[in-house]
Amino acid sequence: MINRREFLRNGFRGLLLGSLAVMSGTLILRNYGGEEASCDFDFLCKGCDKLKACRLPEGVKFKESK
Amino acid sequence: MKKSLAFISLLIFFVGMEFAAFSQQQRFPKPEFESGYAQPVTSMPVPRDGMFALLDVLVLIAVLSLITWFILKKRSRTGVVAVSIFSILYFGFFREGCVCSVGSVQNVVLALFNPGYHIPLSALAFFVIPLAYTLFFGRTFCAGVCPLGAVQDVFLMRPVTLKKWLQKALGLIPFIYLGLSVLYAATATDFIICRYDPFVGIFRFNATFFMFAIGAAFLLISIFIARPYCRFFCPYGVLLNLVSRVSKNHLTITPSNCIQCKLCENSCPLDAINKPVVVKQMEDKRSATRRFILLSLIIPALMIVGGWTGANFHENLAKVNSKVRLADEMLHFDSKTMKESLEIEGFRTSGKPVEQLYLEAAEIVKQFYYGGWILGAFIGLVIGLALSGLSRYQYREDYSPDKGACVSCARCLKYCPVEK
Ligand code: SF4
Ligand code: SF4
Repeated sequence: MINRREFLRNGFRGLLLGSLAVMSGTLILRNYGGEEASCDFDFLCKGCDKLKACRLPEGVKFKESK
Repeated sequence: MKKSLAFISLLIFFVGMEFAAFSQQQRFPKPEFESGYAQPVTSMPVPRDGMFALLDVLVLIAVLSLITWFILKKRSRTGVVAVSIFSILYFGFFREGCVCSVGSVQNVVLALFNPGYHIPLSALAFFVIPLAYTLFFGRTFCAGVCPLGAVQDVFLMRPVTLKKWLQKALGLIPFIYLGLSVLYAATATDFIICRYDPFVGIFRFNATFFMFAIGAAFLLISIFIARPYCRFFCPYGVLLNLVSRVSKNHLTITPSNCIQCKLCENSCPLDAINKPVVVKQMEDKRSATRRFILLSLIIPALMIVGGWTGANFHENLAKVNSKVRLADEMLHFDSKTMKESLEIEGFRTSGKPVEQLYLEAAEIVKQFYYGGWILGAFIGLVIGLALSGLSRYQYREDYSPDKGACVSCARCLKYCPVEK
C-alpha cells in the first residue's frame, strides 16, 4: 500500500510528465504548422542549412547578394 | 585491448569530423573597415547540418541511459567518471558547449512567449530529455552528462564543507539567475545564461580574458568546493533539483538496509546526505497554528515587497535590451555637442521613423514592468519558502541522499559496507 506522501509524489510526477509532453507537442506542432517563418540562428545566414528554403527578408536579401 | 581500440576509433572519428567542420570555415581574414566598424563576436558556433543535431540528441539519450545504468544497476563510480570524460570531450570540446541543456531553458522560454520563434528541435530535446530522466532516476544527467557539471567534477580533489547557512544563502542565487534569464528570454532581450557561461569560452578556445578568468576561477574553486557553478549558479539545476525530489527510482546509498554504521556520513562533497532524525515530540496544536499563521503572512508579504522592488527596477533591467538602449540614446542625443554613435548612425540609415522606435521601446519597458513584478514576487516566494524550510521537521530513519541536491555522482556508494 502506498502512503500519502508517495501518492502525492506519483501524482506530481504524472503532472510534470504530462506538462512536458504537452509543451513539447505544442512547440513541435507550431514549428511545422504555422505559416510564419522565423530564424534559428540570429540571422547568420552564412552557413545556415535552411537558407535555400528561407523566406525571411534577411535570408532573401542574403541569397540575392550572393 | 578492445577498450583502447574503441577509444582510438572514437578519437579518429572526432578529429575527422573536426576537419570537415574546419574545411568549411572562413579562411580569409575578415575585412577591416575604415569607419571604425568592429566585427561582431559570433555568439554561437556556425549552425550544423540537421543530421548533426539529430546525432547530438541520439548521443544524449545513449549517454544518459548508460550513466543511469552505471549508477543505478552497476553502482559504479568508475563508470560515471568514464562517461564524464566522454561528455567533456563530446558535448564540451567537440560540440563547443552548444547545444546545452542549461542554455536551452532560454530557447524554451522564448518559444513559449514569442509564437513567431521556431525553437530548434535539438534545443527542445536537450531541455526535455534530462528532465524526463530526472523524473524517473534522479539527477543522473548532472552526474556526468552535462559537460559543465562534469568538468567541475573532475577537478574536485580536496573537498571542504561549507557552513550550512552559507550554502543556504548562496543556494538562492540560482533562483535569481533563473528568474532573470527567463525575464530576458521572454522579452527577447538576451540569452544571459549563454553570454555568461563560464566554461563555454574554454571549450571553444575563444574566451575573452574576462570570461576566461571567470571560468578558470570556477575550475580552481572546484578543486576545494564541489561543483560551485552547479550548486550556486546553474538555473537548469534549479529545475532538476525540484523535479528530482519526486523521482521514482533515485539512487540509494545502501543497496539493502541501512545498518547505521555512519561510514557514509561525511562522504558527500556536496553535503547532500540526509542524516537520520530522531522522533520528535508532537508540537502542541497552539504553537503549530501560530507558526502556520506567521508563515502564511510572511510569504505573501515577502512576495509583495519583492514584486514592488522588482517593478521599481524595471527601467534598469530594461536597459539591457538593445532597442530600449538605442531609444534612450536617441532621446538624449544632442547633435551639437555629441558625436553620433554607430548604433544611431545605423538606425538613421535604416530609414525607420524614430517615433516607431520609441513606441516599440515603450512596449518593451512595459513588459519589463510586469516582468519586474513577477520576478520580484518569485524571489520573495523563494526566500519565504527557504525560511519556512528552516522550521520544517521531517522524520528520517536512515542515511539517504537529499534527492534534490544529490547529483548522483556515486561517490558515497563505495563507503557503504552492506552487500546486496
Ligand atoms: S547543475 Fe547545471 S551545470 Fe551542474 S551538472 Fe546539473 S545541469 Fe549541469
Ligand atoms: S551520489 Fe552520494 S556523494 Fe554523490 S552527490 Fe549524491 S549523496 Fe553526494
